[in-house]
Amino acid sequence: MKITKTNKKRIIKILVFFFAITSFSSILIYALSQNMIYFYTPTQVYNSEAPIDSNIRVGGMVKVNSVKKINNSLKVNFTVHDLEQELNVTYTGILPDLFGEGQGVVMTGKLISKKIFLAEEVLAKHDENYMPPEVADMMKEKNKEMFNK
Amino acid sequence: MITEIGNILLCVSAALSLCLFSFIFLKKVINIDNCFHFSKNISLIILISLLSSFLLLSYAFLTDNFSLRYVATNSNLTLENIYKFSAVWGAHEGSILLWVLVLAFWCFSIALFSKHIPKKIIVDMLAIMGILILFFLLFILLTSNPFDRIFPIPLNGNDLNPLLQDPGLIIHPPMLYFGYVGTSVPFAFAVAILINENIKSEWLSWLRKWVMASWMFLTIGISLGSWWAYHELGWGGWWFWDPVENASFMPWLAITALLHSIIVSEKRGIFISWTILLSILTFSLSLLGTFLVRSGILVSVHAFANDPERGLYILVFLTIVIGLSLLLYFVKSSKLITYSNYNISSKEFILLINNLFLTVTTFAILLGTLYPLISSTLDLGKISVGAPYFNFIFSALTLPIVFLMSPAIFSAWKKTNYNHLIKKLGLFFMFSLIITYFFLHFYVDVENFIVFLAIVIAIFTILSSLYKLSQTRILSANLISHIGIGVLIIGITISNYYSSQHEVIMKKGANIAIQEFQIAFNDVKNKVSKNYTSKVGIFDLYDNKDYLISFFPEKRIYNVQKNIMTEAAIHSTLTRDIYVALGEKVNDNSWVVRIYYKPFIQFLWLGAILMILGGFFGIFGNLNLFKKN
Repeated sequence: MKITKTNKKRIIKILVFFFAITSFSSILIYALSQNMIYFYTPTQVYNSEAPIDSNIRVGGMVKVNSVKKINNSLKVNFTVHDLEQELNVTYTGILPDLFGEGQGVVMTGKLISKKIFLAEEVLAKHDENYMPPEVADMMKEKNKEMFNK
Repeated sequence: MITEIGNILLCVSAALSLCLFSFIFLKKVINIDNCFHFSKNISLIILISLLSSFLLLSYAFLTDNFSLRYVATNSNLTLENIYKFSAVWGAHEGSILLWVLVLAFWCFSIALFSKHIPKKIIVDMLAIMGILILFFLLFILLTSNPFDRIFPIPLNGNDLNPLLQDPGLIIHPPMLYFGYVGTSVPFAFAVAILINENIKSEWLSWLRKWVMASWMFLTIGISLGSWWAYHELGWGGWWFWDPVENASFMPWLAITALLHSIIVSEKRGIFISWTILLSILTFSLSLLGTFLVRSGILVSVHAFANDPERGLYILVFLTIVIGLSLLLYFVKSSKLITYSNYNISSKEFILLINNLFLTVTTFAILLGTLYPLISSTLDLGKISVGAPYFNFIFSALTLPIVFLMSPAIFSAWKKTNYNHLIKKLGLFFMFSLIITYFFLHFYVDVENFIVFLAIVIAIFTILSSLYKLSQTRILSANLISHIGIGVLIIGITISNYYSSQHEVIMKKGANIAIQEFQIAFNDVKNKVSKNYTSKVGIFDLYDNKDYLISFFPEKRIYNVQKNIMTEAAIHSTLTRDIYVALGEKVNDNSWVVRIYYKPFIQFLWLGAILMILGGFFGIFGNLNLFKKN
């Protein structure tokens, strides 16, 4: 078969198009996979379902009377729980205005060990009626489980 | 009484919008001039009736009528009047009412400024707008009526979310809505064109002004939102890749692409089918944004209430609108396709690349925003997509577009003289390299390839646009906006990479140095205001021992909801901001203090203003600096 000039042009166009599509989508998928952060509950952390030393998110309720500020530094330790298991958190920095004991938080950071979570970012609820959806879902499920028991 | 009148007004508007829609069929039996006349008047009555219901709700707020549930949950006796008024659109019900009011405004404007367009098209456009209005009114009446009563009537209201008690937030939602809802105009146009299977280039130049207006409002809305976040959230950030921000940014990107593809369609008669598709997609993204924000499925400052019923309603509507309009598109669009030859060096080709990149960027942001939702719905795990993804995607995909701005300005339709172009632009590029090198070397003294590249491209764009401006002596929309983008990129890059920040515990009387400045912490005083009490920090700023100004950052506690809010204090000059925010109290003598030094952050707002100005010229005609009459 003889390749005419118009056919050649068309083939080049199609090749360029496919090249563009594949390169764009591979860049997108690569970037997405590099930046996906998974959410875990304190129970999942306790059951060793969460990876140690990689970026994850953890959410729960701040345990009452667990917030301890370390003197003369911005370091703060506290415990979060999901009614079943607890997890110790350490964080250095300014806590959000709406952070408080007995309330929901979602944190981004790393597990140093199975017992300690090093938080890099702490998000608290936005107003009095609002709870981070992950925490709300989690608490709903836990409540249901407790009730069934 | 207010409940009854409000509901009657909403129902009347709904009935009238159904009438408006019926003209899409009636125009076959009634004389088209009469059709147009009726449609125009009906859209005016809808606008008046919705405006009255909106004013009625505002009146309820201003007179503290707590018999309305919406007023009772979002206002308070002690709230300042201006915030009582802005509380009208401070939460879900009122903001949807504003949505539909803006929709009615755009609808009537189409009827009003339609001299050069055939009446057939306008009647169809108004009918489409009518059905959209009807949907939103039904949405209000069925799921989120701001005129619902509450019983027993509370003595006082629950107060407006303190985050929203800020001047920036009074006009942020209306501006954003004008932009968001403005995308319904190209949508209605696209559908009308598909129905009538006919298009002319004058119609496209008419449409371009509407798209420009919507783009301008969206730009104003988004920049006000950023400005508010920067001043109010107390983190010194202005963009967080929060899903709701993305929800407004995606239509912005799509409408920017649309602006450029319309130009090609208008001048060269090609890409018409793409322009039509893009119009449909832009409006779909707007609706998607509304769905994301209003369904409460997002973790966000903007997600106020979680109501699956509302989400479902919008989702169903979204599916119908996108489904039907895409179906119409695939059936009819082939009738609009035209072919024309253009060279790889032509303006058409550059604008094609522009559209390709903008579309991919929009898609990438859509993917990053929706993926967590899809993954959690399908039980693949609860994930979130980090800001690095968006930052990477955005810089990788945006810089090429910005780089192409200069060749786009200087290239010609069909075919451009390569040598000429390269000679001229090469010179500008050399200049930009030199300027950037010296600027970065002496001013910030840090080497970073991405920063260097971004600044070179920004300066390249600014220089070539300025040159073109001095040649043509016309303040044209594209040049001003492109310069704005250049300025914006300088602001983003420098402020992102060269900010410095301190989070420290400061004792009263202590000093801290940041860059060449010293900040002294004097005291914290109590302040009592109408609806909050606050701790006010007193800081002095020194530039090498010379006193410059005092800062008064605040930590507010609002009386009703007991919310704590941080009010940062900022001192700005063109080339830097110094930003002080109070953290928490450590003991009687010391406080946690957050201090930022943000170079060139003002360029961000300056760039945004230039872009808005560009949009303004785009709507009302370019300003000729040396008019010869």
